[in-house]
Amino acid sequence: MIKKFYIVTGKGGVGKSLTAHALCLYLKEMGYHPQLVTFRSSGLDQNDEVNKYMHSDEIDYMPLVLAECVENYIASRLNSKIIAKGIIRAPFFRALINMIPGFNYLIYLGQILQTLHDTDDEKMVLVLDSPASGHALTMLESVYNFQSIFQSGIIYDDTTKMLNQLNAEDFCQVNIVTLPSVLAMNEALEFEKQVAEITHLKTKISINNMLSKIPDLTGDLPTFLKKKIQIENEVVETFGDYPSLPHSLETQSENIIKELIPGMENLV
Amino acid sequence: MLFTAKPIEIFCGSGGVGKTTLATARTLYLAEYEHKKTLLITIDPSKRLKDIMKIDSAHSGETIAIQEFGTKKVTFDVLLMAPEVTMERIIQEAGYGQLIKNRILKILSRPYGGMNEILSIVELQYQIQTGKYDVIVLDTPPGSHFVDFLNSCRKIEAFFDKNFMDIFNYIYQAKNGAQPSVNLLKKVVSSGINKLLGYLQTVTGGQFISDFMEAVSAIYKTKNIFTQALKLQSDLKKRETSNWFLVTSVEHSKIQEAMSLKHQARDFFHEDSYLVLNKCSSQLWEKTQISASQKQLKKLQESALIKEQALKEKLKQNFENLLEFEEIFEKQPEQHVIELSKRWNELKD
Repeated sequence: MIKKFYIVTGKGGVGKSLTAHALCLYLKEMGYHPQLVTFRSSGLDQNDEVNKYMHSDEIDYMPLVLAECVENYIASRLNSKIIAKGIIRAPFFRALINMIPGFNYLIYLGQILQTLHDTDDEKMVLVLDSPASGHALTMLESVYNFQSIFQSGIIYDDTTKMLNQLNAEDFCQVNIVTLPSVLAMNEALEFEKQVAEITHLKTKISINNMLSKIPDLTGDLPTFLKKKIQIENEVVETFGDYPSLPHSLETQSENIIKELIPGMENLV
Repeated sequence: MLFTAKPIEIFCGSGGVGKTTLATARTLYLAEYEHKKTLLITIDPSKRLKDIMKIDSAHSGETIAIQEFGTKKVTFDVLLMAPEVTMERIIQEAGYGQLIKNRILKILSRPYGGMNEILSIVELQYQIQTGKYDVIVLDTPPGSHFVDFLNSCRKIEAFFDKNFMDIFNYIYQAKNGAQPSVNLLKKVVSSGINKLLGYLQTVTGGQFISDFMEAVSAIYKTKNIFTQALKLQSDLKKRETSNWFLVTSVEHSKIQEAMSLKHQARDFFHEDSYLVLNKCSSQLWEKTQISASQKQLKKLQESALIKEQALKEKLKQNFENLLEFEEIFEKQPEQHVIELSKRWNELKD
């Protein structure tokens, strides 16, 4: 069952963006209309555009900019774009938003859920190329945090709606991407546990970059490579068999993404 | 390249590049080879350090004395940053114990609540002031969280900005029935605060505003502790006080992120800032003999060499001090760290 919303996350450097791209292309092949969601900034005053050097012409991107999302949100709730503009420009409000941590993620998530709620396109799927696991957890937690921070008012009502939508059956899945090492596996399992503690979301762990999955890698291998493969095998033995993807022999990201696509059927 | 240990040694970089293992290896090296009294702090909320050190997360926020590492008898201290513990200490020490119950403060000082970075600066300053350590090794959170860490000094300043606090005080006084001064009132009204507050209440609910004010005033009451931590900012920028290690790895080719971090930290980096390239494997591959029939292995070798070569060239254009660490093939994190600590020793000689 294809979900409406995939959160692709994992610790840094595990290949989240590559996986998110491959997932979009796979869904497209399956006849869905995926969009790849990325966050462009982490605060209202910061111009710290996240480095997204990966780009594919075959993918529809949905870059989210915090200031715009906040403005949209306030405008929709107070029924006035002018007031929203005024509020967002007030130094007091900017300071307030920058000080309340996690508010940016609440706004982002709100925008994503609103888009899925408003669309007439039944085939729409949003794939979030999520920031590293810590951030993803901040994002998921933010809904609960703000619900208990506010207790009443419009944001409170909205967080309640968000949670209902997010936790609905077959709506959202968290894809935890990891690597075949003890530290990375521990982190993935811990993250899965933390997600389960705060939400009812389905999670799926997958292991990237497996040397042992490279087809036809035969003959006498150099010692260090044998050792690496042996460690991989031991990790799989210790932690169990999760869907895994081969280490790519390609050097360009577009080619690596193409290689990953067939493996995506085990990740959806 | 000759290294001198500094009172503060900071490891930063994107996630997954091996910051925590390298920082732990550095600590092990300093304690074992240089006999320094060393404290290793991790402010990464994912706390990989507890796996390496086999520490229960229940001990987060305490300095733990390590007596042995793997098979080695070596002593150093380890601290897993726990923002809630730091916050509680600040508020207790200031004599406002009752404010600990404020639910907004509680939420904000949870590990993922977002005050992690600001409180880490406070904690680091606190540990320096104990005077117990020759060196404090800091393992920072990945990527943009590290930028938050750098910015948190600025955030502290902005937070205690006079105008900003005046506005809060005005609202706080008005809520408690006091008559705010006319001058202040003028300023406040001209900045449109009342109107804004009205809109804000519609959105956030009234209880929030009041709890939030209490939280802000609690932090304000402890402002000395926060502003003292600002001194740290200038220390971090001094060559004699700090060594900066920006870590990246061949495996992930995260050059853009490394360059972006370098840019974000440009005010802090000085001559003793090093780029650490982790998980190099080209020397191993160059030694490898491959027969003509092993096509895939040949391809693997080529792709590994091409990637590493391209990465090193780019890095050399952008970083003056480049330190290379060869990839380690050890399953157990402890053994991995021990191997890396030997490399730190080589770099010294």
